[in-house]
Amino acid sequence: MSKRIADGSLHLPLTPLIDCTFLLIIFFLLTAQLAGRELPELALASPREPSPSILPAEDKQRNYVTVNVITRYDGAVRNRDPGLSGMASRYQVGVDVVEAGRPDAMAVLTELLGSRKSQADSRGVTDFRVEIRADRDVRYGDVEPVMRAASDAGIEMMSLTAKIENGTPERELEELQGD
Amino acid sequence: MTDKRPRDERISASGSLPASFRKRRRPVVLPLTPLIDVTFLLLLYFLLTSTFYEPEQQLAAALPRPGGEMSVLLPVHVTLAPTGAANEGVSYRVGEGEPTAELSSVRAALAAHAKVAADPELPVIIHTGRDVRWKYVIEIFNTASAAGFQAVTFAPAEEW
Repeated sequence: MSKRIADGSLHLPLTPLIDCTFLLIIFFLLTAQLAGRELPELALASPREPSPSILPAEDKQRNYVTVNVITRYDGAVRNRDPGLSGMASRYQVGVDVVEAGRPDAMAVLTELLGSRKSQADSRGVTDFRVEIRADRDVRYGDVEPVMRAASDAGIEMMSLTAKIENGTPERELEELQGD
Repeated sequence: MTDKRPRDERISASGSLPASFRKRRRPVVLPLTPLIDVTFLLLLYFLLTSTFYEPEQQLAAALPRPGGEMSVLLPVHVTLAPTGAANEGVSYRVGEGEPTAELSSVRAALAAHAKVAADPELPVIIHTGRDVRWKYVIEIFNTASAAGFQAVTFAPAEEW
């Protein structure tokens, strides 16, 4: 690592070390942004009690396509205008964005979901579903078309994203299911 | 044979220092300060810009199918209507019951239906006004599921 230069002093070659460090930083910055782009920041609904319909963690990451329904407030959580926050500004499927105001928004959404479904079918996936990740303040009238588009695309199952405080303890779930 | 003379005398006699004195080793000084400066700057940047991942849950549901098969069981209808000047509130109604803003009343009514039916396959259909906020829809879906209903579905958005 270290080497002696002509005058006999010890010299650490720090330049390649710093080069590598910066390369790593750039790599992590870019990949973190790409990963974040598929899941925009949303204020999610937070139901007050756990229920048996909560998917186990191991099932969450399999065979699904996420549709984000983004409000006009675009991530801001506090001090929202109640009128504006009810309106969806856009739908996001993966990194594809569909403006909610487009007259053919639902047709485009159906096409996008259909192509994802075809890809899943070609892989032999049978339990493909759509994850609806909508802002808590968006009107039902702006979320329900996503369900229709998914249904038209031939998808039969969906999951609704929410934030439940402290998750769902297994014991509580068993009690609920046992009742 | 060792030279026993004092050091000053040895220098004056030879005119220069002996080899052991001439190659004096310099101390190794690593420029660590700028390295640590940059590291702390990066650390500060990442701390300030990063947001912590908050775990999200997913509630499994079936997609509504227009013209799908009808259940032989009479479904429980839950209606959600918007309230407030900017539709920021909600009013719940279970079956033909009284409209209420209290979720606890809905929970009790649904639990009563579940007890009478004693069948988790009894369908619950959520009828929601176009302007009702999504958080209330999620809340009622979760409440119906927690009450023991397994077939909770959504009706198309309704205009009120």
